[in-house]
Amino acid sequence: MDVFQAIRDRRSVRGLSIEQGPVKDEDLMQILEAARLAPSDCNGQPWHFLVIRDRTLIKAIAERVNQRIDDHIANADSAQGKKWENYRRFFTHHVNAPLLIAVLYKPTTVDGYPVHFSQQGIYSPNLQSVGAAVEHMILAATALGYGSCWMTGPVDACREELEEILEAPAGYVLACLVPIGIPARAASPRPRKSMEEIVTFIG
Amino acid sequence: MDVFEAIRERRSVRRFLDEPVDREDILEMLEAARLAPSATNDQPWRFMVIQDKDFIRSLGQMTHAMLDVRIEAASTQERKDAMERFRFSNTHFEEAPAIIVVLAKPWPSYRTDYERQPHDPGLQSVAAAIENLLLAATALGYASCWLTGPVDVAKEEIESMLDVELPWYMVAVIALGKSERKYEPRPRRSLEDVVTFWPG
Repeated sequence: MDVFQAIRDRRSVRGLSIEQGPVKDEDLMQILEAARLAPSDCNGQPWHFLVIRDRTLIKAIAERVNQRIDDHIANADSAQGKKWENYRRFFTHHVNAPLLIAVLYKPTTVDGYPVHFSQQGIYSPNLQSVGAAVEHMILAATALGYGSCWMTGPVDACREELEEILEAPAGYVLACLVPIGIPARAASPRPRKSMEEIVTFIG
Repeated sequence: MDVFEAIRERRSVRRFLDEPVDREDILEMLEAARLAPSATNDQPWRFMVIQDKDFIRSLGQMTHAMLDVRIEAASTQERKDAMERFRFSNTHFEEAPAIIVVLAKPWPSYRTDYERQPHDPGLQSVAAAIENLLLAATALGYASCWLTGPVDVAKEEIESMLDVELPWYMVAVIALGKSERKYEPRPRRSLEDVVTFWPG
């Protein structure tokens, strides 16, 4: 598929289901190969991909996120609680997907310490690199006829617990979850800001 | 160009021919960036496209000057040497015919107790937009490089030269141009090294 077409046709597909069929092994390998070739800061390739087809584990992740949303609601005022309730379906819709890729990365370090919140944390070169790898993955999935969704919501809800469930290697942080599967129906494009709003030409 | 070919053929290129980048082509690259996915469709990105060679050079000079300051201030000779070794990778954009300074803004979380997290959804989104832009550039026959070095060295100074206002802040510089050389791919970790299958 042409690269511009893949970029135009990519959609965030929610509610992917194994009932629509599996992700073929050879397609999965192409998707991972695309991720592997992404550019990275100083070619550090600070990523690790957990490819999950174990249904029990996929469900356990959704279940833990659901529990944490319950906790957040119990501890929040009603306006905030309502927001959490509205987000529930966006955080757990991967539950029936045939395949889930958990993307882990090593945060940028300065003098051996990871930087999350300092000056470098706000533009974290390693997180930018991971973003490139995930975008490759998602464009590759699109070109191969699969739907996908780049989910950060579950990570917002309970990152550290998910890292534990996923047995994340030491030093790695969970960045996102990406369910992949055959979409049941075509999704329409979401609205976008105009070019004028996001671009300034100088010279 | 096929998407897998664009992914395979993209290189980080640091030396460009002295040829301007066509405005129409830049618009196509920006359109690719504009269509990137983003957390809650927030589209937390802005692109400052600079083709004025004098201004690009002055941004480069500022980066050199700030690097000098940092080297001067470094506590050990080892650190000074390490910073000096990165001079070219931080400043080579000064010779590019076009650069795009990429800005991000904090992602508006639904959590009132939200602090910036190590998985910062907004920054992941901006990275998707940058990568779309680089793949589009590759397909259109341009070479590019995604730099974070100038942000390491001269973030506030460059933001000030570009009149960047809060909540926007600089996250990267993209250098763009034509290259006469075709570069070999850089080494990559093997799939076995970067993937764990569950079940195995």
